[in-house]
Amino acid sequence: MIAVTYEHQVPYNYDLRGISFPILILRLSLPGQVEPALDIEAYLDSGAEKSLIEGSFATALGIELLSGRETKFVSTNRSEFIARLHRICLSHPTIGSFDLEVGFSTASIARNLLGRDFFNLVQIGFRERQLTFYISSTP
Amino acid sequence: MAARSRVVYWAAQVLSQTSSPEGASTAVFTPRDWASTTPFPSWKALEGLAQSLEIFAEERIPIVESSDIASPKTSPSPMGHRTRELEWKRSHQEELLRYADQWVALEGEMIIAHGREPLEVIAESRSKGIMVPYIFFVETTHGEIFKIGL
Repeated sequence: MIAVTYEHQVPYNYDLRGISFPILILRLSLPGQVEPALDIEAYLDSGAEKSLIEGSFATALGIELLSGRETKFVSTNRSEFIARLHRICLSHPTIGSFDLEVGFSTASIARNLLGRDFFNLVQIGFRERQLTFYISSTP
Repeated sequence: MAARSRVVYWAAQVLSQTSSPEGASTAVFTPRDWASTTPFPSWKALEGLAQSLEIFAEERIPIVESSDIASPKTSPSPMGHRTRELEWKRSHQEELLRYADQWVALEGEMIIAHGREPLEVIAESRSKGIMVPYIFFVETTHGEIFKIGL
C-alpha cells in the first residue's frame, strides 16, 4: 500500500459542452514582481513536456516575446509551432509561487497548458472518476 | 456582489493611502481575494475607484453598504482564488456562449471586457481599474470532438 497525502483538492471545471477538465487558475507575473500580472486558466496536461502559455500574455507583462529563445512544440500529428521561452512566476494564493521557464506561443492558442515542468514543482494526483485533482506544494 | 466588492476594494485602497501614507505598501484590506494585498500608488487607487464607479453608473448597479466595509467578505473556499468567477462561469454557460471564440475578462460576476484580441481585453480591463484581470478564452466546439492539449 502506498499513500500520498495532499494539501488541496480541486474540482474539475466544465466547458461550454458540459465536459469536465482539470484546470488551475494561476497568477502570471515576472519573477520577483507583483505587477503587472494576469490571472489565467491553465489545463493540467501530464502529456506535455513543457508548459505553454498564450504569447500575448507575455507582451501584457512587458516581456518582449521574440527576445526569448526559440523552441518548437510538437503535437501528436507531428505538426509543429514556434514558441519563445521566458522565465516567469506562476503563483497561487494557497499552493505557492513557482518561477518557471515556459513557452509562450507565437501564434494564438485557446488553451494554456501546465506540463511536466510544472508537475515537477508540486505533488499532483488525479481522481478522474471523482472529477477532482489533488495538489500539494511539496513535490 | 462582485461589482460592489470592487468599489469597496478601491475605496479601501484610497482610504488606506490618504490616512496613512507611510503605510501605503502595507495591505490593510482584503475584500475578496489576494489581489488586494497589492500596494497601489494613491493616484492609481483613485483612478480605479472612479472607473469602477463609472461602470456602476452605466450598469445602474447599487453600490455599497456600510456593512461591506465593516466586514469585508473573504472567499470561503480553501483554494481561495477566483472561486466566485468560476461559480459564475458554471452557472452562466448560456451567457458565455455570446462570447464564443473570444477572450473574456471576468471580475466577480461582471464581464469587464471581451474581444478577439487578448491584449486589447487586458488593456480595457486595466483601463477600468482591474489591474490584475482574470482572462480566459471561450472555446466552442461543435459535434463530437475530443480535446487534447495541443
